[in-house]
This record gives sequence, structure tokens and C-alpha cells, in this order.
Amino acid sequence: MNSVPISLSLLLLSVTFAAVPPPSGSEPLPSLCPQAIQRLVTAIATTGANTPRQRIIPILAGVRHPFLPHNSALIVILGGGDAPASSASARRSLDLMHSPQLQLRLASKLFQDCEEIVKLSFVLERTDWSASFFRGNGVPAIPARCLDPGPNTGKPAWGEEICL
Amino acid sequence: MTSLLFPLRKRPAYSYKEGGREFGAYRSESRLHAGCDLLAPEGTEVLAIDNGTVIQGPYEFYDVVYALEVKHDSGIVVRYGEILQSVPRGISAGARVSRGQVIGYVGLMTSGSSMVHFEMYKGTVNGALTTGSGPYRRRSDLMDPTAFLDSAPLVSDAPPRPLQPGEARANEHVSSVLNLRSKPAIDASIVTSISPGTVAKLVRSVTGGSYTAEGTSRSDWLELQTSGQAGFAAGYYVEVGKDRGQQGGQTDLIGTGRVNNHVTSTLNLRSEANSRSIVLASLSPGMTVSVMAKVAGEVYLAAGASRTDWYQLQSGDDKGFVAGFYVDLDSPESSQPTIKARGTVNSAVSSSLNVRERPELQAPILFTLSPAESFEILESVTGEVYAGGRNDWQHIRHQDGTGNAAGFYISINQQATPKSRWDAVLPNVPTIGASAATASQDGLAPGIAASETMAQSDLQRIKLLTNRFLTAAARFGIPAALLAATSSRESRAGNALDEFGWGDHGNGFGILQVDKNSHTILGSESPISQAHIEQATGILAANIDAVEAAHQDWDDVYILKGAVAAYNAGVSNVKTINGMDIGTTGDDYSSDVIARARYYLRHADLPMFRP
Repeated sequence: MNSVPISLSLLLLSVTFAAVPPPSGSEPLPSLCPQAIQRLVTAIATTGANTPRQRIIPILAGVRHPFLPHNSALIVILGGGDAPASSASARRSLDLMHSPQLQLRLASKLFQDCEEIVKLSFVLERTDWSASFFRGNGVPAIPARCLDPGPNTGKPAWGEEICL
Repeated sequence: MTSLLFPLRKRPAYSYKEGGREFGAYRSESRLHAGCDLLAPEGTEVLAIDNGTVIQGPYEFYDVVYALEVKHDSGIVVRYGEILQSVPRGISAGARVSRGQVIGYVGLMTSGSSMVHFEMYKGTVNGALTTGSGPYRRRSDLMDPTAFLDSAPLVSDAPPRPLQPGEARANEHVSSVLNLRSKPAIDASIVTSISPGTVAKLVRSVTGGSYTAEGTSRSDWLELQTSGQAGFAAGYYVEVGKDRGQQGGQTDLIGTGRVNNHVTSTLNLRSEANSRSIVLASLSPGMTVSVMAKVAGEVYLAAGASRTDWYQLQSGDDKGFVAGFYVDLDSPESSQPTIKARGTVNSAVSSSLNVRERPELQAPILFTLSPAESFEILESVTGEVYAGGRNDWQHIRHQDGTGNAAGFYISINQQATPKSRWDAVLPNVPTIGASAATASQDGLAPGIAASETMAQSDLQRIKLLTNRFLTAAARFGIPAALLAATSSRESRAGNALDEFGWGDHGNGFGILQVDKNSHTILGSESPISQAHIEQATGILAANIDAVEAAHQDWDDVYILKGAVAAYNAGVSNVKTINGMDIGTTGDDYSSDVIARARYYLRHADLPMFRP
């Protein structure tokens, strides 16, 4: 298990969402809740990790929350998969993937800022590593419960995700 | 282990030993990554690493991608994960596959990444590969595949196949080419030359003029034939296939063959040369087999003719018989990998295609190509991501030089897209075009002209999608023009969809409007994704089978038309030839789609759609 770096520990105490432009080279923000997503991207950038892309997708039928009116999921790609594992950006992205508590804080803040987004996934670029959070009932966000992959797994329900 | 192949034709540009792609990498909830991730563009062919039998799949595996499990003859079990749901015909549980055979295609995840998640097992334990225990959550015989992947040869580097009797090729003593001369003498004129690996026909052995090899004088020469030309080669430089027929007690081997595309699912290998005998194994299309003998057997019908030709053949440990119509024999000439791929600037390019110094969007432009201009393709390369998340580039050679161009804008014409039975049928399907209800949406009068006008309105968007339609068409045997027409009808080729790719009040996804209430939506990351187009094409192909089964007395033109009508209103709605459109949207669905398809078939900008 990797230890959580100091910069991430500080962020755990207080997630800050300053209004700064996205890092150079990143794609335009999705049109849904751009300000909330911008704050999320900025918060991630303060850890040293890159977020070259964000993508909004609809949650598939059958997986949606039975009562929530919205079904938009935000996928945040964390950069570094193409760079050597020793590069600073790759290390920071891996650190963030290794930090479920920080991810939970970021997801909670996003869900508070944007009602329409009900699921947030962090994906390490060019890998099949994904960590997801769902809008909670009584709490802002809950981490996905992992299911094992296989022919008999079936479709994950709300709050579940297949993990490799 | 070294005889097993790498599962892709090229090694990935990004290492499978770092970056979170490696075996044992950390995953959520303290899991460890049970395989290696081999990055490749969506749709890249996935190859069987060895002969084997499909255990199960493709099944839903992770995110929106699938997996196929194969038990290889060496005992090793491989889970080829994160592939597309669409696989080549015949790839299903129980099917035999051969080393190097295409068994699937790389899938695209909603994150935009595409890869093969490669898991390997020793095969010493039975049961499900996923167990739910331990850090890997996998069966106890899980292996780290890294060493295997490091040493596995690419299919292009693999040792050549064994020569059959009557075959010959240049051996390891030949460094460049093997010269064939007009006479068996080193001063005779050169007729032609053979590249290493090229298999030629052995005509005869002769004693000729002397030559020196490794300090020894020799006079053994062989007469060889290749590409219709015959000549003599010094015996020292030639490998000859062993004549197994003279080894006593063994069956003669005619050669190798391949299960052909007349097989729509799997080909039964039977204990005797008749359809009543025991099925020993199921062979999938594209599979390589050893053909032992050609025999006369039970009469069977194929392509409207009675035949009695059967082959006795061997697949793995199984020996048996198959109807000859379903196997193509390899000839020495057909095994020569000498044809260079050619490329053409495709119809997605309206003005000119930039050829750049490197496979990057900002790399200097070396020269430009005009639409329909052709060139030689040197190799496929992975480069910077461009439109639609693609990163496939082609390194090309043209009279102006060499450079790199984005693959989306290139049609590779090394092999023409195979046309199906339905390509020949489509131009003859009767139609009266759009109904008043449909035509009025564009302010048109009903009829074929209205359908054509609407198809024309969508033409520019259709042209951008031709490669995707052609890919799906080739995999399912469905006319590409019909897919284009269906997308025109369903979504105006994407123009009628919302920002997330949905239409029909949120019930239908993508340019071909797959109904979420009836299907699990694939390729939801993009309404024009290959996964979406192929899911819809698969539905259409299944409709053809269902309509054909329900109306066995119908001509092909009505079966195809009925399948189109069923795409809108279901197979059960297709009851009569004249009434199949009643109950479809606008009461004209198949008639309108067919009219649009015939328009695209004839259009000068879409020659690639023609049969």
C-alpha cells in the first residue's frame, strides 16, 4: 500500500476549489455543470495529478437509482499512464488512485455542487483501473461496492461496480 | 512456451509492465490486477496464442467490454478480456480455434481506453476463473503472463509452417533471395527469385553443374515452380517438404486447409463421411486444419448443387470428416505473404489529406493527397489521438515520399471487403419508398423520390461513417449500404440525436437507435461507436435468420426486406410479403429504408458500397 503524500493529506483536511483555468492541453469541459467540474479538476490539479479528459455519460438503464431523477455519470481520466512510472505526474495520479478517502471527499463536493451528476469515476489513463462513487442516501457520496468479473456476475446494480 | 504467439499482431506502444497495466498492479478494495493490459486501438484483431477450444464467451466482463475463455491444447487457459461482443463467426463455446486465428477484436471502454486484458492460467485446476478469494480473486493456477508475453513471437515472426510433400522454400542459408535459373548451373540466366518464407512447388530433383557450399563441391539441383514460373535452384539452399507417404503406415497428407466463410456458425467434424455420424468436434470459420485425404461420401446440398466430396482431416487430436464445400485447401502460392497493402484516401476527406512527418497532429506536413489517391502502406502505427478518440495512423509511401496519415481517412484495399449473399440481393428488393407520413416530415410527397431526397440530405454524415459501416458489414455479412440507409432513417445519420446520442424520447441509442428496453446498450460512449454500429448490425443479421426460418418459402428479396421491417417492429410483425410494413413507424419502414439503401448503392461518392 502506498502512503498518502503530504499534499494529498492536506487536501483531505480541506478540499479547496479555487477558480483557475484548466491545465494546458486538456480538452474542453463537459457542458453539464461546467463550474462544478472545473472546481473538481482544479482540486485534482493541486495534488499534482493531471486530468487530461473528462467525459459525461448516461448511466445505463437497469443500473440507475430508482428514485433519483438524473442519470449522468462523470468520468475523470487521470493522466500519467503514458509517462514513465517514475514521472511526477504519473506518481501523483497513482497516489490519487490509491486515496479512496480523498476521492470520496472530491465526489461528495461534486455531488453537492451539481445535482445532475449522480456517479463519479476516477480512471487511470490507459489502464482498466476505475474507482467509482455514487450519490448517497443521507450522505453526499458512497464508494462503489466491488463485484468480481465473470460470466455469471450479471449487471451491477446502483452502487455496485465490477472491479478487476 | 516460446511456440505460443503474442495475442496481437504488433507489440503495444505502451508497456504492459508498468503504469498500472502490469500483472499485480494495485486495484480498488486492495485487489491486485490479474493480467496484463495490452493497449491497442478499438477493433484491433485478437489472435489465439495456440490451438485450442473455446470454453465460453464472449460474455460481459467489465464496463462495456467482453471476455472469451479458451483452453489451449498445451493445457494453458487464457481469458482474452476487454474485447468487443462481436467476434468472428463460429467463435463460441466448444469451437476449435487455431494458432494465430482471429478470435475477437479489442473493445473500447467508456473511459475511451481500449486494450486486451490478458489473463493466463496453468490449466491444472478446474472451475471458474474468478473465485472471489485472495488478492487476485482468481483461480489458484493463475499465472503472471509477463514472461510469456516478453518471449512470445508476433504472428509475423513465428516459425514458418511445416512444408508438405511437394513443397519447397529457401532455407536458412539464404540471406536475401533464392535465384531460380533457366538451367541447373550457376552461370545460367536467372528466371525469377524467391523471398525467404515463400513456398514453391517442387517439380523434380536433378543433377546439374557443380557448385561449392561450405567448402564442398555439390551438384544437387531442384526444379521449383512459383507464380507460374519454373527454374532451378541449388539444393544446398532449399528446404523440401518430407514425403510422409513413404514413411510406412501413415496416411498421406494433402496439405493444410482452412474452414471457409460458407460456414455460418461452426463446422461439424464427424466420425464418418456422412451427416448421420457422430460429431467429434466443432470447427470455427478461419481455423487451420490438416487435410489427410479427399473421399467420396454421403450426398449433400451446397450452393444449390449436389456434392459428394468430403475431406478426412485432423484438428488437434481429433481426426474425422467434413463436407468439402466448407474447407478451402491452401495452395503453395496462396501462402506467400508477398502482397503489399495499398491504401486510398477515402470519402471522409473532402479536400486533401495531410501526410505528416510523425503520427502527430502538429507534426510538419510533408505533402498532401487528394481524395481517391492511392499509395503503398508500409505499416500501421499508434500515434496521437485524433477525432473520435482514434489513434491509428498509417505509415505510407507515395511518389512524393513517405510519411504518416490518420487511419480514419484511409481505406486499406489489400483485400476487397467480402460481399455477402445479401449484397447481391439488395439491388433487387422491391420498394415503393416513403409513405405520406414519413415524407411529410421533410415537406415531400410520398414515394421513392422522397426517400432518395432524405438519403441525400444525410449523405455528408454517411460519408464520414463509411469505414465503420464497411467493418460491421464485413463481420455480419450485411450490405453496408443497408446500414447507412438504416442510420439515415433512424436518426438522420445522427442529426436527430440529443447531445448524449439518444433519440426516441431517450429510448433509442446511437445512429442506428438500439432500443434500451430490448437490448443492453453497447458503445454508449459515442453514438457512432463501432460497438454500437456492430450491435445494431448483429440485430439486423439475427432478424434475417429469424425471418428466413419463419418464411422458408420466401425469396431472398423478401427475407431481406422482412428483416429490415423487423428492425422497427419485431419479427413477429413480419407476417406477409405485402403487409410486412403495416404496423411499422409510418407504415413504410422497410420500403423507405430499402429505397434509401439503393440510393446509396448507386451514389458516385460511395463506390465502396457496391457489390
